[in-house]
Amino acid sequence: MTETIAPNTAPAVRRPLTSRRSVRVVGGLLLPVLILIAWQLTTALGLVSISQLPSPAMVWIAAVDLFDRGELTLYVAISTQRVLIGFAIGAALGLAAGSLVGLSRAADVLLAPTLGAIRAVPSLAWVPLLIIWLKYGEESKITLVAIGAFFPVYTTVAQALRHVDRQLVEAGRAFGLRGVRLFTAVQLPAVIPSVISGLRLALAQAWLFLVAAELLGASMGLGFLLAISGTNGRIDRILLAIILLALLGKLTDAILGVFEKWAIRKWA
Amino acid sequence: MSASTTTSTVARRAAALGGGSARSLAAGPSGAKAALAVEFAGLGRTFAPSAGTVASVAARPVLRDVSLTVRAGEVLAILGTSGCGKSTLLRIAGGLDSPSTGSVQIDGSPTTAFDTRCAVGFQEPRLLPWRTVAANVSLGLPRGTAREAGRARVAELLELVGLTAFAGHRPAAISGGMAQRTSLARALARNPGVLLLDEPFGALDALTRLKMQDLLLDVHAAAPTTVLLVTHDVDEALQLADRIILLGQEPATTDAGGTRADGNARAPGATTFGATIVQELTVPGNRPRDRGSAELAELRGRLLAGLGIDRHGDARGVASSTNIPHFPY
Repeated sequence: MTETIAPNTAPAVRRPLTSRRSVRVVGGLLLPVLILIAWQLTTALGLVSISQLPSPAMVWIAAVDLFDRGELTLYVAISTQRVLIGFAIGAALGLAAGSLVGLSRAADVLLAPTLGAIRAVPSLAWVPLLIIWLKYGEESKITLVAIGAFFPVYTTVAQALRHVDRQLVEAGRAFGLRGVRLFTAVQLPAVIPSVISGLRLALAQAWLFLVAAELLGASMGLGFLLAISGTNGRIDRILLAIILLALLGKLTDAILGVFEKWAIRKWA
Repeated sequence: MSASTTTSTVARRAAALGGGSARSLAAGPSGAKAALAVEFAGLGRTFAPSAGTVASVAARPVLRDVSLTVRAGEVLAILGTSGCGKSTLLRIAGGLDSPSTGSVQIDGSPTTAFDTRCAVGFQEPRLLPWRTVAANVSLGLPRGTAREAGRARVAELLELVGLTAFAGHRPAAISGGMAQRTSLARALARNPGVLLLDEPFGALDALTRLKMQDLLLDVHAAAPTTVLLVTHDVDEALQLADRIILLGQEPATTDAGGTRADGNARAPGATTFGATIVQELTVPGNRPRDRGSAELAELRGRLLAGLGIDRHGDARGVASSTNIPHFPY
């Protein structure tokens, strides 16, 4: 392909439209609204049988119905609780293991290969084992979610610590910082932006593992709703669960995103 | 020069550098440790071949047989071509690196790792980007400094380097010269007996560099610590130092006149045996020195020749060699 140069547009004197908050919100909502309209049209015009694709209204009715039975709130609450607890445990352990492996050569040699191998195990492979060991209770789900949250944090923290500017670390040492003081004064602040992007990845992975856990062995939760509705052929409820997972995932990620912005302003 | 005139000069200079108020300092930098002598004895440093290089690559000698005594309070400039090991010498003095052979003693006792008697001003400012200028300077305070005393000392040092108005700024928001002054203030906060400066002004523009040199002279006059200054700038060395050593390859290929005895242009930095001290000269006169002095110009020519640079004296009908004797005459 020959090299083409993009036509030189007039230099933007004003703040670009795409960086305005209102534009971002409206722009981001545009596609979901379009999808909703298209969905409504296909079902209203009978292009697809409603037994295959229920209309938006039917999904809404299913939501109201489940809410009236008290199941919707329960499922959302229990799933969110599992994600948050599992995420907290997994992220904390990931932070600790990542720090250890990133800072200590010995720990790197001893731990990194094993952790790398464990990381390679697909999430679903843990489910039968966890169910046998930890039964159907909360522990098995939370453990799986924690496993999911652990690795993104562990990997990003270990990588980031290994790539902290050597010159800064040396300057810290030259001014008498060692051990914990060096870590808190130089290394930790230097990796905070990467730690937070690791946390965001971990949160996404936590939701992923939650559904895996709930699909295969649960008596409540959004994953359970998916599994049971799949068996019953309740496509409206399946769509409802998918939409709720999307909303919850996006919401928790946005909260972390705000935190990330703050941290980058403060530490980078 | 009395102490009070010295400090007011410092404040004025700092203010001229930009930012700082012209208020004179109430007192000189307080609590400075006495300047300490540094002694290098038969020092050598060989770097092991780094991982990943072919096995046949031998260990690389950088320094050998460096013996030198730096008197307490002296300003010693270490000159040399790029890669000749002058930074390595400085790092060894500060305990950032250790010698392969020989030893370094500060005030009669061997240097320890990251020696607390030294403070380093790096070539790059190396400031923590998430800390303010003031917080970066406070990093240099000795352990166990009381909070109030530390804050007062930081304020005093910021005044000294003319950055009081920028105390709350982040490093990203200040200029390169300001960052380097912050770095200098951080080093001074340590109250070092030996101040190690590794091309501290190398990355600055020419004018800022001259101003920073004057600032350093004033700082030294106010708190006369021992200074080891690594530089590749001959003029900077002549302007700042009591004594200059030139690191390079033996056998010494320069005669007293400064021309290369063998006349060929073998790069002195091409280390095969490790660099050592090939020239040592005492700079005549008291600081601050006349930048236009003919005597310094002559020494500059001699040092440049030692660095393998032709001064092109022939261009104006002046012989490249000179018969001005080494100081002291």
